Amino acid sequence: MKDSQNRKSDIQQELEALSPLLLRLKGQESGLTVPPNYFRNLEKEVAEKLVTPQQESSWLSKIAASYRWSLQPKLAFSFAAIAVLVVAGLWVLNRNQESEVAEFAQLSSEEIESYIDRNIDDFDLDLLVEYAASDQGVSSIKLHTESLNEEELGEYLDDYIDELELDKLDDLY
Amino acid sequence: MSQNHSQISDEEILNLLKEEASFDSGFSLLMAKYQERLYWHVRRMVVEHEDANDVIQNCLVKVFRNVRQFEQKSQLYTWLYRIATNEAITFLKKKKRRAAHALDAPESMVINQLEADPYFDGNRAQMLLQQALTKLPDRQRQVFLLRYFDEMPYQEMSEILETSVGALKASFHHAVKKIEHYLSNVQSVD
Repeated sequence: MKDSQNRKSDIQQELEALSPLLLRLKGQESGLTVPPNYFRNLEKEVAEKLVTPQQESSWLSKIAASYRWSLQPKLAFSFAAIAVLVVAGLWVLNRNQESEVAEFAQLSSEEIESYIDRNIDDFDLDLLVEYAASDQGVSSIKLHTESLNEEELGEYLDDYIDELELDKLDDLY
Repeated sequence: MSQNHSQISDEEILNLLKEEASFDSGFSLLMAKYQERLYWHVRRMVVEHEDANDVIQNCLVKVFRNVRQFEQKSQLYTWLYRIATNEAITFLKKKKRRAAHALDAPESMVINQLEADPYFDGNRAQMLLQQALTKLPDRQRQVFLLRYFDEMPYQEMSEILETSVGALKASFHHAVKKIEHYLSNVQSVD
Protein backbone atom coordinates (compact mmCIF):
# COMPACT_ATOMS: atom_id res chain seq x y z
CA MET A 1 0.00 0.00 0.00
CA LYS A 2 1.27 3.39 -0.93
CA ASP A 3 1.90 5.68 2.00
CA SER A 4 -0.09 8.87 2.46
CA GLN A 5 2.75 11.04 1.07
CA ASN A 6 2.67 9.20 -2.23
CA ARG A 7 -1.11 9.47 -2.35
CA LYS A 8 -0.94 13.22 -1.82
CA SER A 9 1.67 13.55 -4.53
CA ASP A 10 -0.44 11.50 -6.98
CA ILE A 11 -3.55 13.62 -6.56
CA GLN A 12 -1.57 16.87 -6.64
CA GLN A 13 0.04 15.97 -9.95
CA GLU A 14 -3.33 14.96 -11.36
CA LEU A 15 -4.99 18.20 -10.23
CA GLU A 16 -2.10 20.35 -11.49
CA ALA A 17 -2.81 19.00 -14.93
CA LEU A 18 -6.60 19.03 -14.64
CA SER A 19 -7.53 22.07 -12.54
CA PRO A 20 -5.12 24.42 -10.73
CA LEU A 21 -8.18 26.12 -9.18
CA LEU A 22 -9.26 22.92 -7.42
CA LEU A 23 -5.68 22.26 -6.35
CA ARG A 24 -5.60 25.70 -4.72
CA LEU A 25 -8.92 25.06 -2.96
CA LYS A 26 -7.62 21.72 -1.71
CA GLY A 27 -4.95 23.53 0.27
CA GLN A 28 -7.60 25.44 2.23
CA GLU A 29 -9.47 24.25 5.30
CA SER A 30 -12.75 22.64 4.30
CA GLY A 31 -14.61 24.35 7.13
CA LEU A 32 -16.21 21.11 8.27
CA THR A 33 -15.71 20.61 12.01
CA VAL A 34 -16.95 18.29 14.77
CA PRO A 35 -18.01 18.91 18.40
CA PRO A 36 -15.25 18.71 21.03
CA ASN A 37 -14.33 15.12 22.03
CA TYR A 38 -16.64 13.83 19.34
CA PHE A 39 -14.54 10.81 18.38
CA ARG A 40 -13.97 9.75 21.98
CA ASN A 41 -17.73 9.84 22.55
CA LEU A 42 -18.43 8.11 19.25
CA GLU A 43 -16.57 5.02 20.44
CA LYS A 44 -18.69 4.95 23.63
CA GLU A 45 -21.94 5.44 21.72
CA VAL A 46 -21.19 2.66 19.25
CA ALA A 47 -20.19 0.35 22.12
CA GLU A 48 -23.51 1.09 23.86
CA LYS A 49 -25.48 0.38 20.69
CA LEU A 50 -23.68 -2.93 20.28
CA VAL A 51 -24.76 -4.23 23.69
CA THR A 52 -28.43 -3.40 23.10
CA PRO A 53 -30.40 -6.18 21.37
CA GLN A 54 -30.53 -5.96 17.60
CA GLN A 55 -33.78 -4.36 16.45
CA GLU A 56 -35.82 -5.83 13.66
CA SER A 57 -36.37 -3.62 10.65
CA SER A 58 -39.32 -1.29 11.12
CA TRP A 59 -41.66 -2.89 8.55
CA LEU A 60 -40.83 -6.38 9.79
CA SER A 61 -41.44 -5.46 13.41
CA LYS A 62 -44.77 -3.83 12.50
CA ILE A 63 -45.96 -7.00 10.77
CA ALA A 64 -44.71 -9.16 13.62
CA ALA A 65 -46.48 -6.92 16.16
CA SER A 66 -49.75 -7.16 14.21
CA TYR A 67 -49.71 -10.95 14.38
CA ARG A 68 -48.09 -11.41 17.76
CA TRP A 69 -51.50 -12.00 19.43
CA SER A 70 -51.97 -15.08 17.26
CA LEU A 71 -48.82 -16.62 18.69
CA GLN A 72 -50.40 -17.16 22.14
CA PRO A 73 -50.35 -20.95 22.76
CA LYS A 74 -54.13 -21.42 23.09
CA LEU A 75 -54.94 -19.39 19.97
CA ALA A 76 -52.13 -20.90 17.98
CA PHE A 77 -53.37 -24.42 18.86
CA SER A 78 -56.95 -23.50 17.89
CA PHE A 79 -55.81 -22.06 14.55
CA ALA A 80 -53.72 -25.13 13.86
CA ALA A 81 -56.65 -27.46 14.68
CA ILE A 82 -59.03 -25.50 12.42
CA ALA A 83 -56.49 -25.49 9.63
CA VAL A 84 -56.05 -29.29 9.90
CA LEU A 85 -59.85 -29.86 9.82
CA VAL A 86 -60.33 -27.59 6.80
CA VAL A 87 -57.51 -29.26 4.87
CA ALA A 88 -58.78 -32.74 5.77
CA GLY A 89 -62.35 -31.83 4.79
CA LEU A 90 -61.27 -30.44 1.44
CA TRP A 91 -59.17 -33.52 0.78
CA VAL A 92 -62.05 -35.94 1.52
CA LEU A 93 -64.52 -33.90 -0.57
CA ASN A 94 -62.14 -33.72 -3.46
CA ARG A 95 -61.40 -37.44 -3.22
CA ASN A 96 -65.16 -38.34 -3.25
CA GLN A 97 -65.84 -36.14 -6.26
CA GLU A 98 -62.93 -37.62 -8.10
CA SER A 99 -64.03 -41.19 -7.32
CA GLU A 100 -67.64 -40.48 -8.38
CA VAL A 101 -66.50 -39.06 -11.70
CA ALA A 102 -64.09 -41.93 -12.18
CA GLU A 103 -66.79 -44.56 -11.41
CA PHE A 104 -69.31 -42.85 -13.69
CA ALA A 105 -66.81 -42.77 -16.51
CA GLN A 106 -66.42 -46.53 -16.27
CA LEU A 107 -70.18 -47.19 -16.94
CA SER A 108 -71.23 -48.21 -20.41
CA SER A 109 -74.02 -46.29 -22.16
CA GLU A 110 -76.28 -49.40 -21.88
CA GLU A 111 -75.79 -49.44 -18.12
CA ILE A 112 -76.59 -45.74 -17.90
CA GLU A 113 -79.73 -46.09 -20.01
CA SER A 114 -80.82 -49.10 -17.98
CA TYR A 115 -80.35 -47.08 -14.78
CA ILE A 116 -82.45 -44.20 -16.17
CA ASP A 117 -85.21 -46.61 -17.23
CA ARG A 118 -85.30 -48.17 -13.80
CA ASN A 119 -85.33 -44.84 -12.01
CA ILE A 120 -87.34 -42.76 -14.45
CA ASP A 121 -89.76 -41.75 -11.69
CA ASP A 122 -86.93 -40.04 -9.83
CA PHE A 123 -86.21 -37.66 -12.70
CA ASP A 124 -87.91 -34.30 -12.82
CA LEU A 125 -90.64 -34.42 -15.45
CA ASP A 126 -90.26 -30.77 -16.48
CA LEU A 127 -86.58 -31.34 -17.10
CA LEU A 128 -87.32 -34.40 -19.24
CA VAL A 129 -89.92 -32.49 -21.25
CA GLU A 130 -87.59 -29.57 -21.81
CA TYR A 131 -84.85 -31.93 -22.87
CA ALA A 132 -87.23 -33.81 -25.19
CA ALA A 133 -88.39 -30.54 -26.72
CA SER A 134 -84.86 -29.61 -27.69
CA ASP A 135 -83.34 -30.81 -30.96
CA GLN A 136 -80.82 -32.86 -29.08
CA GLY A 137 -83.51 -34.45 -26.97
CA VAL A 138 -85.78 -35.34 -29.84
CA SER A 139 -83.03 -36.90 -31.80
CA SER A 140 -81.36 -38.68 -28.93
CA ILE A 141 -84.23 -39.93 -26.74
CA LYS A 142 -84.77 -43.62 -27.17
CA LEU A 143 -88.08 -44.88 -25.89
CA HIS A 144 -87.17 -48.53 -26.26
CA THR A 145 -90.41 -49.22 -27.99
CA GLU A 146 -88.96 -52.20 -29.85
CA SER A 147 -89.72 -54.52 -26.98
CA LEU A 148 -93.26 -53.21 -26.46
CA ASN A 149 -96.31 -54.61 -28.17
CA GLU A 150 -98.97 -52.24 -29.44
CA GLU A 151 -101.09 -52.48 -26.29
CA GLU A 152 -98.17 -51.81 -23.93
CA LEU A 153 -97.09 -48.90 -26.09
CA GLY A 154 -100.58 -47.41 -25.94
CA GLU A 155 -100.63 -47.66 -22.14
CA TYR A 156 -97.21 -46.08 -21.89
CA LEU A 157 -98.21 -43.17 -24.06
CA ASP A 158 -101.47 -42.70 -22.18
CA ASP A 159 -99.62 -42.59 -18.85
CA TYR A 160 -97.07 -40.21 -20.24
CA ILE A 161 -99.66 -37.90 -21.80
CA ASP A 162 -101.68 -37.75 -18.59
CA GLU A 163 -98.67 -36.36 -16.78
CA LEU A 164 -98.06 -33.66 -19.34
CA GLU A 165 -99.65 -30.29 -19.20
CA LEU A 166 -101.09 -28.77 -22.36
CA ASP A 167 -98.50 -26.02 -22.69
CA LYS A 168 -95.74 -28.61 -22.41
CA LEU A 169 -97.36 -30.59 -25.18
CA ASP A 170 -97.20 -27.45 -27.35
CA ASP A 171 -93.46 -27.34 -26.70
CA LEU A 172 -93.06 -30.74 -28.35
CA TYR A 173 -94.25 -29.36 -31.72
CA MET B 1 -0.75 6.34 20.66
CA SER B 2 -2.09 6.86 17.13
CA GLN B 3 1.23 5.56 15.78
CA ASN B 4 0.62 2.29 17.60
CA HIS B 5 -2.84 2.01 16.08
CA SER B 6 -1.63 2.60 12.55
CA GLN B 7 1.16 0.05 13.02
CA ILE B 8 -1.27 -2.72 13.97
CA SER B 9 -2.25 -4.68 10.91
CA ASP B 10 -5.84 -5.23 9.82
CA GLU B 11 -5.30 -8.95 10.13
CA GLU B 12 -4.37 -8.62 13.80
CA ILE B 13 -7.46 -6.49 14.42
CA LEU B 14 -9.66 -9.05 12.68
CA ASN B 15 -8.18 -11.90 14.70
CA LEU B 16 -8.92 -10.04 17.91
CA LEU B 17 -12.50 -9.35 16.80
CA LYS B 18 -13.16 -12.99 15.99
CA GLU B 19 -12.57 -14.15 19.57
CA GLU B 20 -15.06 -13.30 22.31
CA ALA B 21 -12.30 -12.73 24.86
CA SER B 22 -10.38 -10.24 22.73
CA PHE B 23 -13.34 -8.57 21.00
CA ASP B 24 -13.16 -5.40 23.12
CA SER B 25 -9.47 -4.88 22.25
CA GLY B 26 -10.21 -5.41 18.57
CA PHE B 27 -13.14 -2.99 18.80
CA SER B 28 -11.00 -0.21 20.32
CA LEU B 29 -8.20 -0.74 17.80
CA LEU B 30 -10.51 -0.67 14.80
CA MET B 31 -12.25 2.44 16.07
CA ALA B 32 -8.95 4.19 16.72
CA LYS B 33 -7.61 3.29 13.29
CA TYR B 34 -10.65 3.91 11.10
CA GLN B 35 -13.41 5.90 12.81
CA GLU B 36 -12.09 9.33 11.79
CA ARG B 37 -11.39 8.37 8.20
CA LEU B 38 -14.81 6.79 7.86
CA TYR B 39 -16.52 9.72 9.56
CA TRP B 40 -14.96 12.27 7.21
CA HIS B 41 -15.80 10.13 4.20
CA VAL B 42 -19.44 10.01 5.33
CA ARG B 43 -19.47 13.68 6.36
CA ARG B 44 -18.34 14.81 2.92
CA MET B 45 -21.09 12.76 1.37
CA VAL B 46 -23.95 13.90 3.62
CA VAL B 47 -22.43 17.34 4.54
CA GLU B 48 -24.26 18.01 7.85
CA HIS B 49 -22.65 16.78 11.07
CA GLU B 50 -25.85 15.45 12.65
CA ASP B 51 -26.61 13.41 9.54
CA ALA B 52 -23.03 12.14 9.40
CA ASN B 53 -23.23 11.14 13.07
CA ASP B 54 -26.35 9.02 12.46
CA VAL B 55 -24.88 7.40 9.37
CA ILE B 56 -21.47 6.62 10.88
CA GLN B 57 -23.04 5.08 13.99
CA ASN B 58 -25.27 2.81 11.91
CA CYS B 59 -22.31 1.94 9.74
CA LEU B 60 -20.03 1.01 12.64
CA VAL B 61 -22.72 -1.02 14.38
CA LYS B 62 -23.18 -2.98 11.14
CA VAL B 63 -19.43 -3.46 10.85
CA PHE B 64 -19.04 -4.93 14.34
CA ARG B 65 -22.16 -7.09 14.09
CA ASN B 66 -20.94 -8.61 10.82
CA VAL B 67 -17.19 -8.60 11.21
CA ARG B 68 -17.09 -12.32 12.08
CA GLN B 69 -18.67 -13.11 8.71
CA PHE B 70 -16.12 -10.96 6.86
CA GLU B 71 -14.33 -13.46 4.60
CA GLN B 72 -11.31 -11.26 3.85
CA LYS B 73 -11.82 -11.52 0.10
CA SER B 74 -11.08 -7.80 0.07
CA GLN B 75 -9.00 -5.66 2.42
CA LEU B 76 -10.60 -4.57 5.68
CA TYR B 77 -10.58 -0.85 4.90
CA THR B 78 -12.12 -1.54 1.46
CA TRP B 79 -14.95 -3.42 3.18
CA LEU B 80 -15.36 -0.61 5.73
CA TYR B 81 -15.47 2.07 3.05
CA ARG B 82 -18.00 0.07 1.05
CA ILE B 83 -20.32 -0.23 4.06
CA ALA B 84 -19.91 3.46 4.87
CA THR B 85 -20.53 4.48 1.24
CA ASN B 86 -23.65 2.31 0.96
CA GLU B 87 -24.98 3.57 4.28
CA ALA B 88 -24.48 7.19 3.18
CA ILE B 89 -26.08 6.55 -0.24
CA THR B 90 -29.11 4.95 1.42
CA PHE B 91 -29.40 7.92 3.76
CA LEU B 92 -29.14 10.43 0.92
CA LYS B 93 -31.80 8.60 -1.11
CA LYS B 94 -34.19 8.71 1.84
CA LYS B 95 -33.41 12.37 2.38
CA LYS B 96 -33.96 13.13 -1.29
CA ARG B 97 -37.36 11.40 -1.17
CA ARG B 98 -38.34 13.39 1.91
CA ALA B 99 -37.24 16.61 0.23
CA ALA B 100 -38.98 15.78 -3.04
CA HIS B 101 -41.92 17.96 -2.06
CA ALA B 102 -39.74 20.85 -0.97
CA LEU B 103 -39.62 23.83 -3.28
CA ASP B 104 -35.90 24.53 -2.78
CA ALA B 105 -33.38 23.38 -5.36
CA PRO B 106 -30.74 20.91 -4.03
CA GLU B 107 -27.90 23.45 -4.17
CA SER B 108 -29.81 26.07 -2.21
CA MET B 109 -30.76 23.36 0.31
CA VAL B 110 -27.06 22.57 0.83
CA ILE B 111 -26.28 26.25 1.36
CA ASN B 112 -29.11 26.51 3.89
CA GLN B 113 -27.89 23.37 5.66
CA LEU B 114 -24.31 24.61 5.84
CA GLU B 115 -25.36 28.01 7.07
CA ALA B 116 -27.45 26.36 9.78
CA ASP B 117 -24.80 23.77 10.67
CA PRO B 118 -22.80 24.92 13.73
CA TYR B 119 -20.01 22.58 12.63
CA PHE B 120 -19.27 24.40 9.39
CA ASP B 121 -17.08 27.49 9.40
CA GLY B 122 -15.75 27.40 5.87
CA ASN B 123 -15.22 30.43 3.67
CA ARG B 124 -17.28 31.33 0.62
CA ALA B 125 -15.06 29.27 -1.68
CA GLN B 126 -15.64 26.12 0.36
CA MET B 127 -19.35 26.88 0.43
CA LEU B 128 -19.35 27.17 -3.37
CA LEU B 129 -17.38 23.95 -3.68
CA GLN B 130 -20.06 22.15 -1.64
CA GLN B 131 -22.69 23.78 -3.82
CA ALA B 132 -20.89 22.62 -6.98
CA LEU B 133 -20.79 19.05 -5.64
CA THR B 134 -24.59 18.94 -5.49
CA LYS B 135 -24.64 19.51 -9.26
CA LEU B 136 -22.79 16.26 -9.94
CA PRO B 137 -24.50 12.96 -10.66
CA ASP B 138 -24.32 10.63 -7.61
CA ARG B 139 -21.64 8.33 -9.02
CA GLN B 140 -19.38 11.17 -10.18
CA ARG B 141 -19.75 12.79 -6.80
CA GLN B 142 -18.66 9.60 -4.98
CA VAL B 143 -15.65 9.29 -7.26
CA PHE B 144 -14.69 12.92 -6.75
CA LEU B 145 -14.99 12.68 -2.95
CA LEU B 146 -12.86 9.53 -2.69
CA ARG B 147 -10.17 10.88 -4.97
CA TYR B 148 -10.08 14.57 -4.05
CA PHE B 149 -10.62 14.44 -0.29
CA ASP B 150 -9.62 10.90 0.71
CA GLU B 151 -6.77 10.86 -1.82
CA MET B 152 -7.54 7.24 -2.52
CA PRO B 153 -5.65 5.43 -5.30
CA TYR B 154 -7.82 4.41 -8.25
CA GLN B 155 -7.20 0.71 -7.64
CA GLU B 156 -8.71 0.93 -4.15
CA MET B 157 -11.60 3.02 -5.42
CA SER B 158 -12.21 0.36 -8.03
CA GLU B 159 -12.64 -2.27 -5.28
CA ILE B 160 -14.99 -0.10 -3.26
CA LEU B 161 -17.16 1.17 -6.10
CA GLU B 162 -16.82 -2.02 -8.20
CA THR B 163 -15.97 -0.02 -11.31
CA SER B 164 -12.97 -0.24 -13.63
CA VAL B 165 -10.00 2.06 -13.06
CA GLY B 166 -10.43 3.56 -16.53
CA ALA B 167 -14.06 4.45 -15.88
CA LEU B 168 -13.13 5.99 -12.53
CA LYS B 169 -10.42 8.16 -14.10
CA ALA B 170 -12.90 9.37 -16.71
CA SER B 171 -15.51 10.09 -14.02
CA PHE B 172 -13.03 12.07 -11.93
CA HIS B 173 -11.91 14.04 -14.97
CA HIS B 174 -15.51 14.96 -15.87
CA ALA B 175 -16.32 15.83 -12.25
CA VAL B 176 -13.30 18.16 -11.97
CA LYS B 177 -14.19 19.92 -15.21
CA LYS B 178 -17.82 20.40 -14.17
CA ILE B 179 -16.85 21.80 -10.78
CA GLU B 180 -14.27 24.12 -12.30
CA HIS B 181 -16.79 25.35 -14.83
CA TYR B 182 -19.34 25.98 -12.08
CA LEU B 183 -16.86 27.83 -9.88
CA SER B 184 -15.58 29.93 -12.78
CA ASN B 185 -19.11 31.04 -13.53
CA VAL B 186 -19.93 32.22 -10.02
CA GLN B 187 -18.46 35.45 -8.79
CA SER B 188 -15.61 36.10 -6.38
CA VAL B 189 -14.17 32.68 -5.69
CA ASP B 190 -11.51 33.32 -3.10
